[in-house]
Amino acid sequence: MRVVIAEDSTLLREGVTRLLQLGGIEVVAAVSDAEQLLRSVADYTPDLALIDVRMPPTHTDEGIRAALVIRRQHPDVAILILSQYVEERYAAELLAGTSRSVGYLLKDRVADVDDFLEAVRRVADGGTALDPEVVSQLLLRRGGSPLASLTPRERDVLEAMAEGHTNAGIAAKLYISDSAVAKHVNAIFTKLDLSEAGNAHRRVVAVLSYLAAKDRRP
Amino acid sequence: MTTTALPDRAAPPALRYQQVRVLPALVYLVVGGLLGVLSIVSMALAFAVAVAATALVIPLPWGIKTLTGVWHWLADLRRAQGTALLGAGYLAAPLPHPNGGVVTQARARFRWPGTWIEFGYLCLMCVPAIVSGAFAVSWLVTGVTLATAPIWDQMLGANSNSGLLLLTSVGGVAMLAAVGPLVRGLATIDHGVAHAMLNRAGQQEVLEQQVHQLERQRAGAVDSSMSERRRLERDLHDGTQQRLTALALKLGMAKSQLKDLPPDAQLVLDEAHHEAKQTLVELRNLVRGLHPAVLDDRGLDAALSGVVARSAIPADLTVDLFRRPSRTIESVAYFVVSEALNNAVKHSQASQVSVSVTGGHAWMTVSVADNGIGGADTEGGTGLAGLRQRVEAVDGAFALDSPVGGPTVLTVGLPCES
Repeated sequence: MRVVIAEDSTLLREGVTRLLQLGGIEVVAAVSDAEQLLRSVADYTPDLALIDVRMPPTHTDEGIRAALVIRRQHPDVAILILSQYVEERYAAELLAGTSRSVGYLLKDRVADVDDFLEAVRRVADGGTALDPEVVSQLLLRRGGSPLASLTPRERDVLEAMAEGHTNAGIAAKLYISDSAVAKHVNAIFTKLDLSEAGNAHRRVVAVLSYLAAKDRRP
Repeated sequence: MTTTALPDRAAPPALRYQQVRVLPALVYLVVGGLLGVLSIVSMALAFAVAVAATALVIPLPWGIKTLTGVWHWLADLRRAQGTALLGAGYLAAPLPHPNGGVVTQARARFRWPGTWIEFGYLCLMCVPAIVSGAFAVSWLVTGVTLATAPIWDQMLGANSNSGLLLLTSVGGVAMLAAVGPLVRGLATIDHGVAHAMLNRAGQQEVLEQQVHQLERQRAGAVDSSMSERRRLERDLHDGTQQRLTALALKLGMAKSQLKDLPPDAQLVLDEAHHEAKQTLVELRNLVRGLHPAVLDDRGLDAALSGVVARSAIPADLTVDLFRRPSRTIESVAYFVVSEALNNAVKHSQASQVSVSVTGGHAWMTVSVADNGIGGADTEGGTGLAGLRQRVEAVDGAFALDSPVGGPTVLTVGLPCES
């Protein structure tokens, strides 16, 4: 897998590069601002772009904006956004277009090497990786009746789904059996009145669209 | 107002009888009389202008502007009269001079309290000034005439009784002797009234300028504290947080690569990794408490969404703003909600919190209500006192309704114009 990194802190840029290389991932370019990022993506067509939200010149949301540009111009490049803080609003913006091959994680997650590499691979493969913190924000914001009808275990499964895990991944994460997961997933889709989508990716889309929809109020 | 120098803070006191000298006083009274005549003429003019304006012969704003200009000119003449002749001091009271056309100027002058104080004074003084001026002059002339009666008698060849002449002469001299005190007394009284009334206009001016200056200073102080916090947040983000993340990353990589360590070493490494990650979480919360970057980037709705979602007590949020308020106001609103939620979590034992932010053109309302045990107040060191200060520093309104046992509702109003 070939990756482009955009991160303005030298320390982190080099650290994450090494982390990825440790996982057998090739870093074709490591840049420090949005302009260079867009150029490298055009030049190297990587499989995935790992992008920091805050970069020069304004240090506000360059990363998000660059990600949306890349999504338009190079739709085959997977995008993984890293941020010091995750906010529900940015997630909603990112997911507005599509939730294929997109991730939004707290920078803290790089401290857990295996989980991080797994998320990178998952996103590059077409899946999603949403930080549990932003998922819980999305869930709490919805707050109203359909979500309230879920049992605590079903909420755990929903969160794990929204984070982008497959059934197997959910089973491992929650220490339950695959069949239990499937049962919960069915119940969730019924209660939320979502059509059961065939593959794992499509159902993540369904869940995320549900969560990210601003007009869903009880 | 376009005055650049700050006016004197306090009016110099009115002159006392002892400070008024005879000759200047006499001239003062004469001039006063003349000004009194001028004032009466200006009253007549005012009346004529009022009639003409009502009959739509001349436009009202122009009429007002001219009239107020004349009154002010007369009042200034009185001030000059006192200053030049008696050495008195007056507070400056310039007419308001906003940018704009005749209508704006007229309105500003009409509204200025000084205009009406000066007008009132002119009405009040015109007759007394004429009377005292005329009285002083005639007293003087009479005194001189009587005192020099023998000389007139001689010149006219009247040959009156010399005893009578003597009496008249003495009377005249007595009158002349009284001129001094008379004139000084009249001038002092006249000046006293002028001082009291004309300085009111000046006082108004000083107060307004002081208020403006204080408002500017306060806004400056509030803004600068907010920019400092923002700067601190940015420094921490760019420096410390990155460094800590890199540290946690390296520890994670070490853990992943050193799989064959003896158990003790493995444990230490695990703990170090865990501590580093924990520190990251704490630092992040601290930094967000300083100033949440998303507030600047995306506004209140986004920032509060995050706060509410992280709340330990289930909370719902409604945000309905007509337009985005200024950065300072957003910051205050954010901290009101954040602090109120913290308090609810720490003290209220509530099971549900409701946060609502609504705003119109000029005013917004932030309300945080919980169904807990109540009893909150601004004294108990809960940070509510500081919150109240912050709200009041931006001219907001702070109301806390928290009876013991009952629900708690914190309502904050904030001005909304950017």
